Amino acid sequence: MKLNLKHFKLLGMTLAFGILIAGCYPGGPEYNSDYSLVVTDYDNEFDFGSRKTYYLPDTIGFQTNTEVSDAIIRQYEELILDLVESNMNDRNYTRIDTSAAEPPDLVISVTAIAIENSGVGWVPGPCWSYWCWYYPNWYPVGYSYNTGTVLITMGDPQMEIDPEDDIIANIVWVAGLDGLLSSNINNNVNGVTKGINQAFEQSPYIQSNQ
Amino acid sequence: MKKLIILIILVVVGFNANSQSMHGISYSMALPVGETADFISKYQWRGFGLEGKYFVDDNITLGWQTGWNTMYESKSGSFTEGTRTRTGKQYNYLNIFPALFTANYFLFEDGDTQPYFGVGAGTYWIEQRSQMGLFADTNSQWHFGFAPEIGVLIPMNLQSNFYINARYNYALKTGDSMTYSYLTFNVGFLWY
Repeated sequence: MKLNLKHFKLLGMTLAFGILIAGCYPGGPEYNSDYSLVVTDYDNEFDFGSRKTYYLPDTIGFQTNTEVSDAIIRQYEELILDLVESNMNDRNYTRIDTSAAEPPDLVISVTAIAIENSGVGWVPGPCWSYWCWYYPNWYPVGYSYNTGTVLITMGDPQMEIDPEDDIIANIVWVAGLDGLLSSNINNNVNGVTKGINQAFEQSPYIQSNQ
Repeated sequence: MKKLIILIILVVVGFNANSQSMHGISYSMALPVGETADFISKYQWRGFGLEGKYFVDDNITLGWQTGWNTMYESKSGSFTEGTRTRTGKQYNYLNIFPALFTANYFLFEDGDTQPYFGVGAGTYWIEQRSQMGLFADTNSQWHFGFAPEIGVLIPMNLQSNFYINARYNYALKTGDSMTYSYLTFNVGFLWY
């Protein structure tokens, strides 16, 4: 097949279209809040309405792969526990502590996870000479971002676990808040507040009728 | 896949050597329908097509068609599957590359406007990606599919034609992917 002007015309227009399409390729998440995710799951055979009291510890668990102390998370500890408590109280549950005569109907635990992700990418540098078209001047650029996750689990202390069952824990509800940790504390406070309230909002079955 | 490429080359070279042919390029817009519209529902403006038509009769062409349609939609809200609910921004993407053999029938042999209809059949390579939070789920598959089309060819001079067509693309389910269907509306030029 001989190439003629028509083929070159087609090739040229194809390249132009390709560049045009690549140039307006759809975007994606841009801001920290775009990465926020709230996930909840529950045991649909569990009767949340029949329970009244719950136990919530005064501290939250913390796991990280960073060098920093857990102080970075502890500054949000009171906020997180207050939000969980106020949402549970709004659903007609009552918080009790270990001094109560009766064991709680529900046990809630909160864990925070902070993970630092870092690496090195290579980008082309400026080109000042003819030769660097053939030997581009690549140089490394480091990147780093921190992700934060808050896990809230609700367990049923009355549930008997049969070792032969697939069930491995007596967890009846779990909520996960996931997103990028910002260097701005106010952004993180807003994110955690919205996230915990959203976790309860999308779980209307958590409602005591006792 | 290798056999398909060889077959396409044979068809293109074979028809080029023996018959009058047209090659063209088009701007392609898409509207997802059916199950695909549950994933991305908005009208899509990003795409282009390439095609060749080879006359085997005064009214009939055989040929090929390929291109690229990229679809995107972001949705905010809560998405529930069974007992699990996810809330956040969901970013859905589809990249579709058809590779079809086509057959077209032109209603008139010549004239100011030449309406035609036809069908294409072949494969679609489709990449489906859904991102929510820091997690992305990607599924890429080859699909068998077909595409009936109607269109109008408007000669501009002895060598060039403007054309517009609508094509209903249907890519059959493969593995754990869905069945993809979408309409494309194409505007372009064909040259003899």
